[in-house]
Amino acid sequence: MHLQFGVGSGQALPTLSTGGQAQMDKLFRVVEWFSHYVSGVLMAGSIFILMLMVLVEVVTRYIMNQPLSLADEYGGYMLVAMTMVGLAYTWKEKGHIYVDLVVNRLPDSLRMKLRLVTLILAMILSVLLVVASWELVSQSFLFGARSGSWLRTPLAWPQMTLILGSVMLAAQLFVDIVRLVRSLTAAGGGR
Amino acid sequence: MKQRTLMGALGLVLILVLGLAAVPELFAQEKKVYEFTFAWNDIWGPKFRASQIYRPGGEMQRMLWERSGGRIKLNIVPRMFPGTEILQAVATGKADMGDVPMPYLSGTYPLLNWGEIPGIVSEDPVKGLAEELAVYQDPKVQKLNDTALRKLGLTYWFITQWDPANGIWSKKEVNTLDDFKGLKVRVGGYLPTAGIKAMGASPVTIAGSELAPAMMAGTIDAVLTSLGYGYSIGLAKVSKAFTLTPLSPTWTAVTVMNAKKFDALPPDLQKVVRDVGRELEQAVSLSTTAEYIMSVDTVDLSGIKRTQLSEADQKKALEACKVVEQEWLKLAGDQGPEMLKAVKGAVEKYRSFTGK
Repeated sequence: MHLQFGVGSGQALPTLSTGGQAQMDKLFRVVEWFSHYVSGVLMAGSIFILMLMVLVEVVTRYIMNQPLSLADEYGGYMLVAMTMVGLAYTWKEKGHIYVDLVVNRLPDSLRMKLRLVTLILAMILSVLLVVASWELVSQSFLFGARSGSWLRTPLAWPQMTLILGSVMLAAQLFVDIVRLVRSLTAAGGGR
Repeated sequence: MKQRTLMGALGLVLILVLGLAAVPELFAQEKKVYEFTFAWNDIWGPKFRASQIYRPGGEMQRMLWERSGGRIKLNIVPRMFPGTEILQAVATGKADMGDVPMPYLSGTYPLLNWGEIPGIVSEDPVKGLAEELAVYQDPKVQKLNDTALRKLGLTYWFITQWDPANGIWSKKEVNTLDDFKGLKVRVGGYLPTAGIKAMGASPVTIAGSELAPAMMAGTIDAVLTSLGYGYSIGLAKVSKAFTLTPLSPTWTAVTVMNAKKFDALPPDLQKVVRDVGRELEQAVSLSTTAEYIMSVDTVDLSGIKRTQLSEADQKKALEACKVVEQEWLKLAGDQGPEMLKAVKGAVEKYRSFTGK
């Protein structure tokens, strides 16, 4: 049994309708729109494109004897993109691996506090990911890094999916943290 | 007169005091220990010939320490960065020195990757390794290498040579240029791909870890790689022949140092660094040559037929591969023609010396 917070959980948000909160809720909806369509739908579509690319590669290799030599390199970039950009959607849908052996035996209030701690830790990790990805991409631009293959792909472009993915994950985590804090505050105020 | 004597005495005392004050400073400078971080991507383990010099406690660390009288201390960090990122890491000061496998960076720094042009050094690996080393030790080429690397914030140090990836491991014998037609050959890198196309084969890109299974499954008919590496990944079990080609006649890593760190060394230590580099590259070159010769025996005993194109076909293949040099010149930029001239000049000089 999991504690359900955030979008998709069906949990009603505390109704503290100040102007600032309304703005924030609007921002949350934007973040979740991105998590759903960019991190989820677009990346799911990429799997189909990847499949087509591999199919074309196989056909040109076996039947035409003139392989395109695209699938190996671009397939690699797409797999990384799907993994990284897909992080936010997977988080939103609670699809990441979650060990609840101990957590499920804790009282609800302690469980929520522990959840806040883990969310903050995850947020710190995702911010570090943003920083590291940014550094990688900026260096690739600075040095004009290209792949050594026949395609000589400028590496900064596929690497940008690392920044996009980690920023989206950080944003989704931020939404969850704020919602959890609201829930904790509401629970505390009701006592 | 008395005043003048007094002033003179005071001056002498001042000079003496300043001199005495400077002595510890000079002493300290002479004793200053320069600590450097050396990054290399140790993914091959001890079978990587450069690992014998790079490993902690290995020749490079020891020679620098001993020759500098304990003033150069290396902190060797294997796998600090992936092979493709070491150059940037050293240039930006995250590491002070590093081993940069140039073919991996051929897309970004084509100028430093002239070694993949067919026909400059001999396709016979024993001759080719010696010729390539002579090129890298040529003062003109060294200056050009250093100029190119200085633009990135690096200084050229020395090279470590692998045996060249210039052989075709194939399921059928490849004896003539016509045998290349339609052959699905796994090849890596822009220039070797251009070359294999020019020779009439179909280049295929497949992950390096899948070569033997891909040969077995018929996904590819052949692999362009070196004799020793091909054997070590099991290609002898799925191939009938190994044919030398003019493609990819060298496979070399350049060891670089952060330019600011190098320039900050006193001249005597700069000389130590340069001299040690030169000795190390010679040691590695000889080790690679010996290893290649042993690999030949091993491959022969495994039942693989080693072949070579006839002289006429070799000429035709080289002619077809001229396109590789043209492609390289397009990629290498303004310094390309000068580098090519210097490299070819160095090979010529070496051949005139050895009479080969």
